[in-house]
Amino acid sequence: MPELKEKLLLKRSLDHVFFSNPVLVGGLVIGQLAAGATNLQNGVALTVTFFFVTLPVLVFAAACGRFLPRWSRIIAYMLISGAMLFPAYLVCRSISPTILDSVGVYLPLLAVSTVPALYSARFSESHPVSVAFLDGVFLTVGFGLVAAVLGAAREFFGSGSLWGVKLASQSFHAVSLPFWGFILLGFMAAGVSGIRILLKLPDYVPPVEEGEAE
Amino acid sequence: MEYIARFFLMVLTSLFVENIIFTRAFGTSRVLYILREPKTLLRRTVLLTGVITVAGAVGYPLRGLVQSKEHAYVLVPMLYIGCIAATYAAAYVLIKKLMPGFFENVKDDLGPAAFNCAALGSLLIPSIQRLDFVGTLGYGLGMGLGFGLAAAIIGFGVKRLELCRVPRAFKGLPILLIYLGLLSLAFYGLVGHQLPT
Repeated sequence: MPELKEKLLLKRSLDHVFFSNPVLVGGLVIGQLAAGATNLQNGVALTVTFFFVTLPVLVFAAACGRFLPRWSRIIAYMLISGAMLFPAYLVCRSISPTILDSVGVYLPLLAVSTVPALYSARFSESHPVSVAFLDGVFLTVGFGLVAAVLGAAREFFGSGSLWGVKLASQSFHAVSLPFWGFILLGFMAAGVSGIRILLKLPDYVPPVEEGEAE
Repeated sequence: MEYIARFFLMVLTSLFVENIIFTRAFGTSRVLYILREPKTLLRRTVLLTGVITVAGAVGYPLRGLVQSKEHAYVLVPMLYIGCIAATYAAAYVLIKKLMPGFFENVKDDLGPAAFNCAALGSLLIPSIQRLDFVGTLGYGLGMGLGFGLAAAIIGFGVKRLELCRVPRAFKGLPILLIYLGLLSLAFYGLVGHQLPT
């Protein structure tokens, strides 16, 4: 029985990559991608930051969360994710010198996004550290997949380039505005939803509600 | 008089021209989460507005200490996360002590209302634009009210979308995101130019 439970938890974590993608299915961290992932470099920078601010918080919530008074847990989680912004910033700055100007305020906003703020408190606290670790890794992969595809598509259609390399002459600058981000994310979410329907997967249960129910 | 005029100008600017959801895209996921429990919208908007305004007032004199430093890009957000944490802790203790009845209603909402992208984003923009104290407070108040306005507009749309016949794959989140995109486009029409980040 414990083995079966472990396998189910592993499958649940793996599903974060596609079938239960945190952005396209869970509706988490939408704003940062809609407004911030305007090119591939920004998408990578957002993914790096998401990893730095999410993984330590989820692991800490699983390991120590239950030992803290309930009301103070969110303070601890947010201070950890806030502190982790610094190493993320150093890594992102090494990707490109202009990347921080390009991604603007959306990179530091990841520190207080729904995943470290709510998911940690309502799901990770009641699960083992190994599950929280796998969740952190696969949530990042799922987030990164969407950030990369969205960023690459907007960069290509917006300025005809990819990772700053000019590939075509067209330019359609409106693609970099948030409304295009929302619309493109909507179509990507419909794509994942269509595949879920084709494979007859059960209805998605949001992790936050799942955690609340436990 | 000049301060009052500037205060209300900032409130209106952040409420309509730089709406927190439709033009800035701060706290979008939180709006979608709140829409699952629409009855809590007013309470959460009031809490969010209070947190932004108080944390903005607390952070204003402190931001000068880090704003000109080399790593200000991350030091300012870290400072404001600290200010939000202090505001949350003070609000939790004070409300619990002074208004125990109200505390029972809001104790679960205080954390999510304080720590979210809407609150942090609303504090970072005045810092980047180097607004003065009055401007910072006005901007924060307008952002909080703009959050409630956006959530109400999206909520009305969600009810209508549920009655529409949309392809099965688009039901739920996908059609809601496209609707959000079209609303955002309408607000951009109102603004008429690209926003600085």
